[in-house]
Amino acid sequence: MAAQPERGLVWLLRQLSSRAAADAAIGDVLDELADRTQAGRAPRWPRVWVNTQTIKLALPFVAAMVPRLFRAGWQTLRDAARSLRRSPAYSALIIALLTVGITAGTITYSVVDAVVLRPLAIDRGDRLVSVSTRDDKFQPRITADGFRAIRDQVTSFDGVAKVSIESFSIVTVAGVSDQISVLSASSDLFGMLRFGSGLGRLWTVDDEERGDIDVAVLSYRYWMDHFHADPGVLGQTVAKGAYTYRIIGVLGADTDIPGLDYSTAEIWLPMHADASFAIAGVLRPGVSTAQVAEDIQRVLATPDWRPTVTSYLERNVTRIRGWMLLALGAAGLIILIACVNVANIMLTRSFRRGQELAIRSSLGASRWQIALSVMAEGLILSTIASAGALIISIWGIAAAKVAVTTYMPGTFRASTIALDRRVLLAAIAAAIATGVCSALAPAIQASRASVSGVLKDAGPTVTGGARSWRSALLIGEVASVSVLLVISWLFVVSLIRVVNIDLGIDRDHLLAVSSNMEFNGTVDEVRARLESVPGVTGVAMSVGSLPIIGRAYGGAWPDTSVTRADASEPPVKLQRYRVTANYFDVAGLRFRRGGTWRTETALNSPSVVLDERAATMLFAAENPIGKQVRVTDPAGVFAVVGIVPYVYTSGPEEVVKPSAYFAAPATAARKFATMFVRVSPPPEEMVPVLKAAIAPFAPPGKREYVHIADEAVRRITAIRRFNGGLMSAFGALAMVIGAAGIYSVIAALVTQQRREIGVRVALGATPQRIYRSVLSLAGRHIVVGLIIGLPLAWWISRGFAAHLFQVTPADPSVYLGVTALVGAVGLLAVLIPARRASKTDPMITLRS
Amino acid sequence: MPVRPRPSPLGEFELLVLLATMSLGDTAYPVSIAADIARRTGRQASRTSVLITLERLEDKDLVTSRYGDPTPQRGGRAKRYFRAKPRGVQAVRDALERIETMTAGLTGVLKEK
Repeated sequence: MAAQPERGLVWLLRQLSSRAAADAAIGDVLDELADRTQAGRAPRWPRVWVNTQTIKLALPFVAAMVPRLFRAGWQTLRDAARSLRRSPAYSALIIALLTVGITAGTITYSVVDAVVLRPLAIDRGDRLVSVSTRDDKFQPRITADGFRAIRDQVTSFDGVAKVSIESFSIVTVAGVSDQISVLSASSDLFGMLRFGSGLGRLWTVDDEERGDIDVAVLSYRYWMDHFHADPGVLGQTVAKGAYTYRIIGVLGADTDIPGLDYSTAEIWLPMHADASFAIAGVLRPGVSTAQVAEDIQRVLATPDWRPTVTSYLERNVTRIRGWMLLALGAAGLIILIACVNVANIMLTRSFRRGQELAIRSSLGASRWQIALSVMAEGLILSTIASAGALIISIWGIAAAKVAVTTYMPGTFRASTIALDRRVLLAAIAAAIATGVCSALAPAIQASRASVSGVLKDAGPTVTGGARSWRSALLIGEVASVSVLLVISWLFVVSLIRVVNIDLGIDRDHLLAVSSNMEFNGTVDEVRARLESVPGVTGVAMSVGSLPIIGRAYGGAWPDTSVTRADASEPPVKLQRYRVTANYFDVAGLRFRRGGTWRTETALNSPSVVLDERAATMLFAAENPIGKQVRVTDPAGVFAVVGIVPYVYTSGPEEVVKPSAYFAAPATAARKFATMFVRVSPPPEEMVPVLKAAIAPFAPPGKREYVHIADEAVRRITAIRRFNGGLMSAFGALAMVIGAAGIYSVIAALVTQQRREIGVRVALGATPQRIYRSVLSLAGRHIVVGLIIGLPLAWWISRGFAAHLFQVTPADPSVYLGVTALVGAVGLLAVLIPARRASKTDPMITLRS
Repeated sequence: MPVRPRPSPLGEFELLVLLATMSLGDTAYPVSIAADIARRTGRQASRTSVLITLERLEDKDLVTSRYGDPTPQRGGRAKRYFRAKPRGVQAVRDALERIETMTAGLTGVLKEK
């Protein structure tokens, strides 16, 4: 069989002309092909020739169509704009609803995109991984030789480097001491990250092999900020601890990558052979993290241990991803609710215009044209709304950035939150989709309007099909609102429970001095100075980290094993605190039983204070006071002297081991400790006072080390609080949009049914009856909406049960609350239309 | 009865196409028309431009078309035959008259080689 044109082209040609004409034209092409073949002028590639000829046939049709399409499009838009101008109130309401929806979506998406979704702004950033070098017991498992083996033998890496970052390191650069971040790495890191020098040079493998590792490289930003881009910095020195380094180069300007913690380091130094390190690597394309972990285990020959290989981006966003996507989902739901609402309002409007559309239809407008004109209205409204939304979003995104950096300090890539091209494109796409989606149902319905039916009647009536559309949309809206309300309610309840939980210590008027560094004097001197400050009512010391404070500002708690001295049960692991005798009093830990040890007896007869959970684990229901326990660290047998409440060391949402408190060993020369300081004036006022008081003992550097306990809790619960606030804002927004939707639809319904209502009143219906019938109409929709929405909400909220706190997705109180709220607000929204309906004057409506 | 406006004057290619259609009679379809023009005038007319011109002439109500029987050589597709309508013949006459009027008195000049 001779070459045939592609089916797609045939279809196109048939659409452009008629089926018969297109087929005849293609037949002519085949005729010509046959003639040419006969005459010995056959084309080299007959199939290509046939397709080219078919395209040539189509082109003139397309060219003839374009101006026609433009003209028709312009006319449709002009008519739509005219019709919108005629009803400014409706148009304004729709624009407002769409603006709210698109703004909420744009702002949320820009935050989520910047923090979670966008790939790392670095070449091969999606394949950047970190490899754990220590096991569960924090024992180092990869030595320097092990690293070399990995570098040389693991083929699933495209590049691998040793790296370690030391924050708040005291360094003297060109004679000026500063507290900065120092990164130590093998030279492989530069190649792996594809970082080059902006000035001078970077150290190389050769330097490392020769042992020339007394060199330093400055970060570009540090060079700009502290040396104002002075090239004379080369050759100057960097002193850190006992080592001195010579500056040989500055990193290039393109190495300042947001979200990459290596970029935050100000000084880069070669890694010493004996230093502890982490491993960073770039995977080869197509290699999984599990595969590379397996390869490393094989090369290291450690059958008992396999390293954890984590994607760099994954590691940074894991903690916040769930929250962020939840917010994005909620914003999506807001857009959906706004869309459904707008669709319903447009539907109502298209019925009011029933006569106009019927006349157009009778004058020859096709169903398609009528539907298109309604769609054009949606498009115009959504275009105006998206323009407005974008303007508001510019401000909103700036506000969101401030909110995220203020309320969730340390959020990954928060500094990059901005209205960029990705967000802009997504917002515009969402706006167009919103406009088209909301106009879809009204367009279909308007195109189905019966000409004779509408023209016969003096006024617009509501057809059965119209009613079901409107009912479906109203029910859909109530369902979506209830889904969002349930979700936000669950999160608000979680937030309330997190905030109100008893953490064990009394945070009121409590401050902490926690420097994570040695004081410039002994701990006793610092303590005595603090106690002498007016307003300070108590100072307690802990040799290690303080609860809550350590979680918020950096700290760690060692474990100890404790067993009953009189029984041979397996030991229990407890968190070990070594504190002064007044610690419990100052921290506000009220003794359930017994009391603290007396300072003078602590050394002679060792005592321990346990928390309730530890006491129950060890002694069950027995009275533990006076009982003895055997402890590994500090080693010995201790008498239980008191029982205090369990303390949520790491904040309300992390359950940690119960605690055992031992007396802090007295060492006059001790220079490191943390302290709780109980004060009577407001703690905010006491922070500068305490800082001034201990300024002479302050550790070198500029770091903040006087903290307010309440602030620490706020810091720990920052994401929860931010999300709770966001979800309640979304919930409130959904409720307002929902109420506006219910009001506008029922009001329009009452207006459209005024003749019917008039007839009913004329036939003897009382105003109360009419009032009740409108209320029950709204009530029916709300009930059905809730019946659909609540189970859906339960099903959706099961997906993020892990993010809830002390409340389950099936908590009946939440569903009862949402039902009551939606019912109350929904009925409130229809009070005015119901009143208007009940006051219908039959004579006026029947005459009109 | 509404009076149809006179069609706009024919262009040169339209005239050629219409003349070929008339001379081919019942066998006039785009391929044969293009071949006829090429044979008689030496001008290579593409089948596509002939078809587009015929469609335009049909829009102007100067030609009419009908579909013949499908043939296997054409992949089972019918031919679309065109025929000049009386209005089309009149349009040709008008065009030729205009040319004659304009060439009157130019015989000498036009015969110069």
